[in-house]
Amino acid sequence: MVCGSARKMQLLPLLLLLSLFFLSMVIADSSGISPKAMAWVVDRYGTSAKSRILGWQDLIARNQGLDEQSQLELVNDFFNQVRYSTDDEIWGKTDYWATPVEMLSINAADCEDYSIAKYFTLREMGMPIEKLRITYVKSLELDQAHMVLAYYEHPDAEPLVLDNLTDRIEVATQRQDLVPVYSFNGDGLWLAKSRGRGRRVGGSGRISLWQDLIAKMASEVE
Amino acid sequence: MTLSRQLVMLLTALLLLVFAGTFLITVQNARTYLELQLESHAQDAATSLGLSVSRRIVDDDLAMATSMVDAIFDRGYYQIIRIENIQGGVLINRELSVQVEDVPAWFIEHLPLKAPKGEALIMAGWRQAGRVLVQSHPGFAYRQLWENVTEVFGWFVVSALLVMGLGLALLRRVLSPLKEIEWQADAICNREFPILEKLPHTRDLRRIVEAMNRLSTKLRMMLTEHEDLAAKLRKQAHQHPVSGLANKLYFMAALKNRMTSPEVCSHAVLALIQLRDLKGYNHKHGYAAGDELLRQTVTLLRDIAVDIPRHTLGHLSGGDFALLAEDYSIAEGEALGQRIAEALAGLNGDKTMRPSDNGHLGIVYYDGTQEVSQLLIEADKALRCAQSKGANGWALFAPEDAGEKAVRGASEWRSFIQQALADNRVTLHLQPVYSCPEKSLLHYEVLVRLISNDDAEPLLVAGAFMPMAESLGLSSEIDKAVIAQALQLLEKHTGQSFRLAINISPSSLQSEGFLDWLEGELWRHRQAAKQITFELPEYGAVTMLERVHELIKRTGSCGSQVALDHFGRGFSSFAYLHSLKISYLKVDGGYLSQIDKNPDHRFFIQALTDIAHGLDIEVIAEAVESEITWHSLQSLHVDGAQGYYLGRPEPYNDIA
Repeated sequence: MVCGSARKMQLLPLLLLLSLFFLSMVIADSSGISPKAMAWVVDRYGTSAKSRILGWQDLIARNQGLDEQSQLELVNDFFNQVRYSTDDEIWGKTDYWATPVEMLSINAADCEDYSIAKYFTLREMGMPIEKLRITYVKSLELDQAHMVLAYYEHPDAEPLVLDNLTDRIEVATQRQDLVPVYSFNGDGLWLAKSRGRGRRVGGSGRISLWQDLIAKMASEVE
Repeated sequence: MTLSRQLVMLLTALLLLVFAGTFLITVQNARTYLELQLESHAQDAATSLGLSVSRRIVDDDLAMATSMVDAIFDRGYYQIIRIENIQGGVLINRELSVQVEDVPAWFIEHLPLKAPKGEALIMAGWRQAGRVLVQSHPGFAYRQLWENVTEVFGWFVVSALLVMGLGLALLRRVLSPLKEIEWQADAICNREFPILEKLPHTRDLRRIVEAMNRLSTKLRMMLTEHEDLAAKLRKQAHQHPVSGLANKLYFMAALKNRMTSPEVCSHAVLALIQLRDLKGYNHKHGYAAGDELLRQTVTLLRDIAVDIPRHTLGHLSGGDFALLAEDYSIAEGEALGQRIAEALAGLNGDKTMRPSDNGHLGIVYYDGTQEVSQLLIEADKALRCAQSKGANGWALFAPEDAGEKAVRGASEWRSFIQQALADNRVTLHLQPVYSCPEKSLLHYEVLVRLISNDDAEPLLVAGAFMPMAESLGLSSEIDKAVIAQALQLLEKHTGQSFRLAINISPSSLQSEGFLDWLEGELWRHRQAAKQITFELPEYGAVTMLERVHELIKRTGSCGSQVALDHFGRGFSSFAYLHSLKISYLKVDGGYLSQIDKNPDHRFFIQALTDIAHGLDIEVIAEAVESEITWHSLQSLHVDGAQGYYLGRPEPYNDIA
């Protein structure tokens, strides 16, 4: 899927500060990423990648109990800092769904990567699965297929749209520039995509972002 | 448990194990795969249905939605398709029971396939309008699984049967030599020593067969050596070194034995043959020529003796020979004399001997009354008389009253015997036979008597009439009468357990129908039959071995046993004993002379006993007439003895 151009980063300074602040505290992250993995990231993508990842971990850790609206805003802002690009430019492949760690490491993403990253992060923060849907849409402005993350406060509600085209989180009805096509449960979608890639994935249950990265690294390092 | 059975059990267990394992693995794998298939199948259906129905729900077109659901459902691949609204209320529901053709219900029951549900959203624009739930029908999966299971099972059954069949056939082939080895071992126990020619291919078995063959050969060799030794000892003790005929010691012992056994011999003719001046002949023509003359003489005498049913031929010394013809009358003695004289005349040693004067013979008739020494003196007198008569002369002396004694002719005898049989004047006497050294009773030998109406001789002993009966062909009648009486006797005393030894004459055995009659009688008196041993004289048995075998077989099937008596008279080899399943042999009295004084005689008895024991045959000594003899026997491993010293024949009424 190819999507529209990205907006400029806005909260980058703040994030850098935060990540630097917590750099000393978070050397070996207990929630999954090992020193070895981190070293690999630094080696591959540089120290700024490391600080981005640490900042992301910190974001998750610190905002577990926050109200959902705030969580949505924080996550949306955080990931929208990442530069927009196409899969072809970033990875040299078409339709490559990057993991959040990959995305932060390389600091470039396309619309699916944004949606997936936001979805997983919010899930890590404790948001219930029924409230989040990955939605396939059509962007009328760009006349292209696009993907967004939709938040349903209750099953019957009009959702809020988290998009990389804009930093504002708006009610769906207000987004006249998007035509919804179909929505999916995020976990199921990721599972399906991974299966398609021939990755060995487990059965049901939440997928750990870390697991995927470590698996990828294992195959690359050895 | 046989090896075959063990193999079958092992193979079955093994195959069951392999089958069970493979079966479980296969089924489990199939199941997992099919479940994954069902899952993705359901999910795909849910997703596409969700996508399609989403548009219809926007238009609130439930009918259209229902139609869409039906379209998918009626394909038959789904167990459940359900559409719910966002609150969970059911809008459309379609279900199919899990029934599968061709697959038995118990199979479905015992192997549940998880049919996971697939779920998808129904969107009305941005709004979540509902949910689609799809569950695949596992029918197809079950059919696959069932096919899988039955095929695997079928394959295993076939291969199991094949493997077991082949295994058993192979085993049977490989192990067939074992049956042969068993047969060979049994044969060895039965005193035969066969060799298995065909060696099995299997190395282990081949080695066993080869070892058994070596064993068999060795045993035969050992037995043969033993026999050779015994024969050598006998020769040393009882045979003349040059001619092989009975030596003087043995002849005299045999003579004495016959003369003191009225049971056996009531009258006889003794001939002494002397070659003229053998010493001179040796000096004149050399010892080689002398030996040649001796050889011819021996051959001549042997040829004549062969026709005499019961005889003993001895080489007393140098050119002195003796021939004892049992049961010969005076007339027969005269004929014998004539024959020998003519034969002597025909001797032609080296052509240098005066052709007509080779030797002389003196004959004496024994009428049952003379003593041994007396008889020998008379025989010597007859010889002097013959020598004075001239070239190749012969003379016969008989006691003066011999001619006057009432001697029955053949026809008289015939009628006498037949009358006695008809009048049932056959009676039995029993002589005990004891074990050595314990002196416990082994059996009674049955001795037949005829009651005559003659006051002079009220009771005729066997020796008086049996030889005549044999030559008249009446012995089988007498034997039958004896056997019948003996069986009656045993029946009367069934409480007591004593054995009887009953004599069968050789001519009875040869006569037609005797064996059939005997077998019939024994069958009728099964209990009594088990207490009987039939005795045959060895000198008769060796001339009719097949008959003897048959006697043993047929009486054996009724529980009776067979034995040989007067063993050793004819100096025959021991080889035939191997195949003869007799229970004992009674050694002829002639071998017992001077066993207290003569070690060679003892050695022979011992060797004979060893051979017999090796063949599971017991040895009983006949004609034990003195305490010295009895005592000498103790150390020779003899199993039993009989004789006047131990007990005389008594009427059976007198026996307790």
